[in-house]
Amino acid sequence: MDELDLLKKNWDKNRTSEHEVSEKQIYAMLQKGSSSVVKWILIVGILEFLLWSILSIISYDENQMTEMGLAKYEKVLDVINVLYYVVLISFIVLFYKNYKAVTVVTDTKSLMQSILKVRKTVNYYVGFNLIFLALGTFALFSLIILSAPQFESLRNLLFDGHHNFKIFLLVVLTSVFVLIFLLVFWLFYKLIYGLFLQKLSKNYKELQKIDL
Amino acid sequence: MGDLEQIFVGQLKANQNIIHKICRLYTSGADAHKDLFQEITIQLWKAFPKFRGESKFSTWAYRVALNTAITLYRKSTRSIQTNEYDGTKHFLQDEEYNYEEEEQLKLLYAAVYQLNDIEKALVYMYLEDKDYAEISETLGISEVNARVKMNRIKGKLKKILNP
Repeated sequence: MDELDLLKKNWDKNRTSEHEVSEKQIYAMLQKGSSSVVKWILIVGILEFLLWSILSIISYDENQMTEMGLAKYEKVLDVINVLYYVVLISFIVLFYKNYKAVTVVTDTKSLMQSILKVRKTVNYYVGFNLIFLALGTFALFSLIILSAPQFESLRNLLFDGHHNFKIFLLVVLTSVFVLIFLLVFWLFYKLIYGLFLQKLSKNYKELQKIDL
Repeated sequence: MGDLEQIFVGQLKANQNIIHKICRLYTSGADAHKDLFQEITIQLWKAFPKFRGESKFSTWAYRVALNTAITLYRKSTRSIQTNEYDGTKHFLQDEEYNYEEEEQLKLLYAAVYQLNDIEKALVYMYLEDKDYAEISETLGISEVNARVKMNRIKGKLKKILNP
């Protein structure tokens, strides 16, 4: 007898009631695509936060601050640092809220709204980081050049009143450096979050087609 | 809420047995079954906008579902093909005809589980009474090849069940 005949005889009988899913469960399954993307945004956001925190703890060196002549700015730098972390943590809280919103959503309309919200948050987050980085690097550069004892001779050279062109050149060079620095970070963000956003907008477009 | 989403969910619920059957062939254990079911649901949903209702939902769905199962299990099943059900083989030799039909079915499923992804797909379509023209079209192989493969599968199952 054919081995498969027994299987065939029972094939249509086997109502898999133990695995039967309800409409509600199916709806829940459909949300999975978007919620997993948003979950990854949250995870990467947290990892990035940890990375920056650990880097700044490791690289913090009081002696170096004094050497660079930055000690007198320490309080200001501390305040800026704290503010920076407050904003970062707020973003992580927002990411988490977004994630929760996407996982409990029950219909396509609110899912689409949540996706738009996620996009907005990520864009703000990247924008904030880039602007902070630009201002931060520029400010730090200026402070170092203005205060570091190592740059004494450079300062004398620059500010003796006859070298406006050299100051201009220095500003341009600093700007170029900051821009290159920014470009690297922009690419970094584009790569990581851009991938997520692309997936999300694909989901969004599909939802849009359906929701017409 | 989107009309299409409602239609899809309704259709899927009504036709879920198709997917459960595929899950039963491709997975062992309730969790794996659930996972595959969810993955197939997502793939069906992604493909749903392209489904124009030219065929029945069930005919369309089983192809997408089968393709999902094949691609998913292409990577993972090969490695566990050999020893998993060795114990059952020995049982079969002595007590083959004393088993209840339910037990025999279990062994059969276990045997089918040892086949590879494409072979499982063939078994599924065979059990669903699809003709060889459709089998060859779905799997992208020639009709002759499909027949040869099917015969080989029967031989393989015989060997697994009666070593």
